Amino acid sequence: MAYYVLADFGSTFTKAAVVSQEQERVIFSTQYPSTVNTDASIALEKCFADIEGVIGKTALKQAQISATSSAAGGLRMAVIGLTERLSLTAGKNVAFGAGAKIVGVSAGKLTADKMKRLQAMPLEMILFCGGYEKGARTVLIQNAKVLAASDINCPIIFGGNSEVSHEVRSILIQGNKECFVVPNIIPNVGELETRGCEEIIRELFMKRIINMKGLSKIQKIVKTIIPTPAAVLAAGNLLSKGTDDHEGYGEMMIVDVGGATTDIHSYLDNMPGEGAKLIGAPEPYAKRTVEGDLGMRESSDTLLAEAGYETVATELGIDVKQVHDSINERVNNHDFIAETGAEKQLDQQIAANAVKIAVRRHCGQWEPIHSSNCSKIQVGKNLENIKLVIGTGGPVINSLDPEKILRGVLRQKKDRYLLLPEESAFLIDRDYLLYAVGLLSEIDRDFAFKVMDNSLKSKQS
Amino acid sequence: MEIHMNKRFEFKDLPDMASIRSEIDKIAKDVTIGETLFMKEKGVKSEAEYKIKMAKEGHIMKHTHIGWNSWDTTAKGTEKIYNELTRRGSYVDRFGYCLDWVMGVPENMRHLLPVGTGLTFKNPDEWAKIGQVVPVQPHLGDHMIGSLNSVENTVNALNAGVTTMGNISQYYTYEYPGIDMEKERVIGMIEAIGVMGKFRDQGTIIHSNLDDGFGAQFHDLANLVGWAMVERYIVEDLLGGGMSHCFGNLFSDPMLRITFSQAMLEINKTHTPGTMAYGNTIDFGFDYERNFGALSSYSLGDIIAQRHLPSGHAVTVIPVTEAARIPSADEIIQAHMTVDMMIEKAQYFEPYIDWEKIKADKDILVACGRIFFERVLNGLDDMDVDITHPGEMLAALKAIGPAQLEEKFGVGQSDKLAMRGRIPVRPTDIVSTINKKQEAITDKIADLPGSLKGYNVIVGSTDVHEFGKEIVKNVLIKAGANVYDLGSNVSATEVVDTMGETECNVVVMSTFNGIALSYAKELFADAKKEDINVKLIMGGLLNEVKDGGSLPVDVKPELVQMGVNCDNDAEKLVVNVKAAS
Repeated sequence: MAYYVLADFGSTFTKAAVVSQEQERVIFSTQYPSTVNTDASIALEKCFADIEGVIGKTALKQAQISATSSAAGGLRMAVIGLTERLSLTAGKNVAFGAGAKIVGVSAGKLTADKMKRLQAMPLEMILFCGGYEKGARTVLIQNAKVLAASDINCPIIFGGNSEVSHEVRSILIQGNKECFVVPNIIPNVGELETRGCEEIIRELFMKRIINMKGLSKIQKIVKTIIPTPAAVLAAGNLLSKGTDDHEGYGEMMIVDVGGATTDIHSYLDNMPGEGAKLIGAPEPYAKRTVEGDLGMRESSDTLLAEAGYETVATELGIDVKQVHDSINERVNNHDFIAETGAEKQLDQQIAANAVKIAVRRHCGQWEPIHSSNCSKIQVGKNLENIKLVIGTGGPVINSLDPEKILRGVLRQKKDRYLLLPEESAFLIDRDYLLYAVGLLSEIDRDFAFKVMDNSLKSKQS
Repeated sequence: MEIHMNKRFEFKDLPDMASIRSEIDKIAKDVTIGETLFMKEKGVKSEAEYKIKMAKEGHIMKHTHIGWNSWDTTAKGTEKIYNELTRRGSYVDRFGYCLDWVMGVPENMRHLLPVGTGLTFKNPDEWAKIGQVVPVQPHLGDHMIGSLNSVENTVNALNAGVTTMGNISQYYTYEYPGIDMEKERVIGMIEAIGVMGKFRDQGTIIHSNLDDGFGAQFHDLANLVGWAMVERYIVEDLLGGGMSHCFGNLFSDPMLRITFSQAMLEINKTHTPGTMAYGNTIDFGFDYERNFGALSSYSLGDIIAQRHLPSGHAVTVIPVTEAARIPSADEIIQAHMTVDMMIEKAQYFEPYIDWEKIKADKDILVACGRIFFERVLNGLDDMDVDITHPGEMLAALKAIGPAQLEEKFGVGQSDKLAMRGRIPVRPTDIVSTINKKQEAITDKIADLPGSLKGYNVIVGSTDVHEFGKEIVKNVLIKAGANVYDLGSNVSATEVVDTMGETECNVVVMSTFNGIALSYAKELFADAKKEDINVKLIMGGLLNEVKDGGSLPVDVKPELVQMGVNCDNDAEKLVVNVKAAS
């Protein structure tokens, strides 16, 4: 086999890249508007036709084909835990790490109001967790009863205190809810056990969610389909840590701005920031967060609401009504492409604000507290040691000034308590390769590293 | 071999040694070793010079710790001690001043820490006075080298004529919650050691109390000897300092104290005089009559050790009230008179001691220690730690921790069923004593096994000391309780979060850092916000400096009024946990 073909089923485009084993680089890539709402194979076949024209029918037949999918909004999950800093944080990290988008959370008792809000969300999976082993029981069982009595109609993964897992499962099944039990994700103080949970999320995604996205035909052609964010996370992990033969890039971040979301991935050990005692759930080396209200199109209105319409108008030197009109255009037409200089400037500002806000939700912070044995505590991940930021996603790659957008991750004077880097190097994923490298890393890590390294360094200017 | 490093910072980011040595040179240029009254009276330029002389003359040196937290009280107290001992035909050679933990951080950050119960030097004049009250040489151990203010404190101390200071071991275990500049801490520490090294030929001594650091957490004494070799390598071979190891807090067996003293002497290739052998505090409790016995037994061992093979270590005189409060001048004097009697009588024991047996035990410890030392250095090298860079070594060793060091590099025979996977060549006294104390406690509790089955208990310590917590934890485990151990320096926030994940409202907290009342108030307030009813059992030193005061006072009445259980008695643990649940 001389080629790998790596496809991505996005909401807007279906992309395919061809990687040459011999040349250790991408030799061809193509994309077509997504057909996932009708028949995902249509767009893929068009991509294959292009690829066949480049490498030939036989080579394409012999190529190893894998794919990622973020189609139809990706994997939408809710996380229900017991305490914000411990089980809920651990649950969110697991869900993000498996490639999900978290659309709802709850900590503590699941009240009728909280349940009502969760029911109103388009959930595809729920992670229900909490309780150290032999610890909390009562609230977990109460919450299980609330879930069982609800109108929720999606798989529920229970990753809490295993002492009550049978009872919880039984309650949920009796409420006609599908329940999967995994090992407790926080079995004891300072411990994190996420593998079982991540695997089942991906498996359910592969077997169930994908079918609902018009991708069932694809499974005959493509061996493996994983959530796109999980692939990007894996790619970053590979780049950061390196392999036995390749020194990794070290402490780094990936910033991925899309039409619906902004994803932040950080890769470094969590160390206490200056003057703080680290508390809460352990933060993973590779951490991902997804902000579903910070996108360039369908969620550009919520993004602007947070950034401030007046602020953006002032930054651009235009009327605030102009900003409102432009944002409405984007919300109502997800395929909107900026053609005028003014619209491109606005896209630049939207992306810049998306990054600024998203990274400040991702990073840890310290909180001054008046404590007898501690005056500062740190919750979350310390990004002060980040040395490299890689930008990806069309809104960054095709913007007027990608590095300016990425510089939004750097600490500013007003970020008093936030653990952000002071300075960093910046690279752009101009070949849109991260998802592909993530797929390749499952096959051959050294090869995958070389491909990405070659791409990033060749595009640096 | 898989070793998990709990890194506090990326030690590859440390400056190279050329830059650090240049900085050391700059700092050392402005240092002049001052002259204390002691040096004047004894006609010496340093304490090391005096110790070498005294070892030759067979004089048993005595050390006392001073723990008052105002300079006025300290000056008056040390004067009284010196004058009274002189009057009664006794003596004291060195005072160990206990600095407050705020001294361990730069001045502009001291407001971030609540003041504890130690001494603070508020200005250069107070530093200068330290050796000018009485002709007794000052020793500065706590919160000096290894703290967050290593360089400034070292320079001030040298200028004041203090030539012996520590405490390397504290780097590994002492924390300053809320001020965690680990990289700067390491840089400052190695610069301070380097500065001391510049004056080594003028008699400076760098002190490390093994029992303040990983020593308290090692299970095997053979590994501890090897650990001392590692510290010597860093301080002496890499930074040119003169190292002295103190030990003794956790050595209960007087004969073991003699054996270990000889082991330390054997690995001391630079012949740096010892600082002091610290008193055995494991056996000190609230029964003062028993404490007299403890004082006599450990001091006897130390005196005999110095008579037989003098190493320069002074005998530490610990008053019998030490476990209960900061001792008064009278109590210190009292203890000295007791030790004087032991000095007088030690000569009668010495001829009957089996020195061959001690030598044989010592040889095993040193030989095995060497194996541990080689394994640690090779292991670090394999992990890509630069073993010629003292900063990388210190940071890596701290990140690995004592449990992994013993598990991976220990010399004991591998055994899956043994603690840390190895049978100790020679178990430490602390391990033996914790086991014995636990056994004594558990024997006294009727029907202990299973008595707390199904009960959940959260345990922790408000400070670095884990000894009390470990005993409590093991008694609870033996009783069948599920124990959630939050470790040391536990914040109230962590306790409340853990209560949420365990539905457990019984919290057993050990405290020795003078914040008992504030901590309890904070914990109750945080728990109330989450609508959680906490049942708090506190043990240790239940004291605190209250507004307007300068000494910590007993705060048990206030704690009891708040509903905190203050029995401070491990034998009542089962009853108290049941009552609280």
